[in-house]
Amino acid sequence: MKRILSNKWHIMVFVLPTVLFFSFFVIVPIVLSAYYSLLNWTTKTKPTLEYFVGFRNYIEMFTGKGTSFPRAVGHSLLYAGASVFLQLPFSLFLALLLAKGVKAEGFYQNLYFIPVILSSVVVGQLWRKIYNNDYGLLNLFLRAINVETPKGGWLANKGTRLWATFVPVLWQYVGYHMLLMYGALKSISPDIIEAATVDGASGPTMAFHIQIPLIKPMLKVCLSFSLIGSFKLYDMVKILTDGNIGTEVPATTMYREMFKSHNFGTGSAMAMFIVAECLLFTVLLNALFRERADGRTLRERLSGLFRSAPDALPKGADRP
Amino acid sequence: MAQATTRQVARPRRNSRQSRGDIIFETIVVILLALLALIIIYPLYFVVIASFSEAKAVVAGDVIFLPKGLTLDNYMECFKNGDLMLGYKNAFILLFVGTAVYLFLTILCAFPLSRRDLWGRDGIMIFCTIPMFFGGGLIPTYLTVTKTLNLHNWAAVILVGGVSTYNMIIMRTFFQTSIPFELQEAAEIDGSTPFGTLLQIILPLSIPVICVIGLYYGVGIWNSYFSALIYVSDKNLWPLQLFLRQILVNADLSAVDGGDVADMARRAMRAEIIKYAICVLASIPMLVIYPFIQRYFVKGVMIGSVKG
Repeated sequence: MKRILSNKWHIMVFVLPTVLFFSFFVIVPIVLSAYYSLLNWTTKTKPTLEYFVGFRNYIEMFTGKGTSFPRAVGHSLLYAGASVFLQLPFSLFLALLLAKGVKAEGFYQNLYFIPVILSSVVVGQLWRKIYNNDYGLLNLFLRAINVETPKGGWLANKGTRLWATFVPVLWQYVGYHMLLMYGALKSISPDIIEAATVDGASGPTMAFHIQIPLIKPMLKVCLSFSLIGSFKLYDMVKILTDGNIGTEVPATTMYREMFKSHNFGTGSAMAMFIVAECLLFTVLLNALFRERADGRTLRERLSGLFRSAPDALPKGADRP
Repeated sequence: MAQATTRQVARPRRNSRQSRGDIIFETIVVILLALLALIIIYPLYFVVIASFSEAKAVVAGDVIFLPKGLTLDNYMECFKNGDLMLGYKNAFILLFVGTAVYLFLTILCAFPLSRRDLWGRDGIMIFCTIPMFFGGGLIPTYLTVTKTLNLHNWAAVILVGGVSTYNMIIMRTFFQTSIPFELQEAAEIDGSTPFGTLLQIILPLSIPVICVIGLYYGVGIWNSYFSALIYVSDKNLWPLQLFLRQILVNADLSAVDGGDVADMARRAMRAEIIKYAICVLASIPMLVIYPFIQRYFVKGVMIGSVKG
């Protein structure tokens, strides 16, 4: 017995490498970022308390002369909105269609997932070509049907550049969210679907009253992914427009601040802002879903057996 | 109605109330799905055919369904410029070493967390979810790795990439739901150490989930280039993506330096087309193994959504 008891301590050791790893590469850097964000740290100064400036960096990044950070934050919120209200519903729609069992279900499902496994460098290059002013697919198509193409190219034109930057990201990850939702839909017990069918549910009724409520935990995961992904959005924007004026997002502005202007203090403040933004939305999302779960509706009681499923899921995660 | 009934007998999977409306609906669904498939697949197909075409034809917009002026020049250019073979070799080593390290750590961490007899399980779990939401910011990480640890090689890339909590949770869920805890208890009463239990009981029963997670990590490592870019200074250690990136940069440079205007324009055009070949080269390994691994992706999601 004593041996088994000592085993309990023994297995703690297994977690140690990962915990140390996380501490060293995630927790410590966050703490350091918080510290640096309070310093006036440029190439001329050093990260010591001598250059402590309090919250000046935070004020500067929003109100400083020529700062683009507020605009960048606006863009990221806009992108988050697009992701939540366009991309996710679209993915859900696809997942529902596929889970219903169309012909060649597996084929479509594989196909939609292909962009996800491609590197964002490749997808970025691909879309730059699609947008190319002279021979891009998009313009060729528009010219063929006699529609005017934007002046200066999609990624440079004032009216189109922001959305032209967002579309490739949305395009790339539609399949990812679809797959997550599809997996969840397929995990619903066939008994429930059958029972609902016997009761006369089909099509939209089935989707809205049975399937969607049952995959709520997965929807929450998707929402977390897309929100956090929105705030951290970087590589695709970097490749498409380099985060130039009109298409900047917080991460591109932050890197610019650090590597071009060498304002490490302000850059760290921006990093902290992104962390705070993610935290805020995670908390909001959790609150939203908790409230919904308490107000038990008929369909949730119907699925009483499976209601406990939410706990199984992570509260959100990075894109693998 | 009679027709509907026979249909039901013929195809038992279909809904019993199959009517004309349903058939129309299904047709629309199929058209919609196919259209979307086209939107996704055509750009990718276009990259492939463009990479085998003459630059002139692509720029003129003549390449639409098939390559024009079939040529391997774009690929030749790539292989001429960089040490692509070295790049492939490095990328594969990095891929295997990285995946192995992450898998090892993920399994080690998921195992205790899957056991209800772990003390402080909830606390450790919460701690592990923090990295899912917040990256630490580049500067402090960079300083930690290069200054404190003095790493400028693959170790830095692997350390910075890191274990994914999401994958760890999937793994833990699998351990919890698919392997009875009693089995582990029995083994330990028979004198097995926890490590022995992990090695002899858990691992043999977890091959599918290990494949899934390994694939997730593999794809991630293959597609990452940014950490290699900032941490690996020795060119002999560069993975493929960095060499490809260098070709891109060189192609742009050679497009602007010297020569007459026509020559410059021609080179600029070439530089554009070479990018197609680069896209193909960078994606080939993933696209080749994708058909074999795709079913595991769905499996991973389904494991993750089982009650744990």
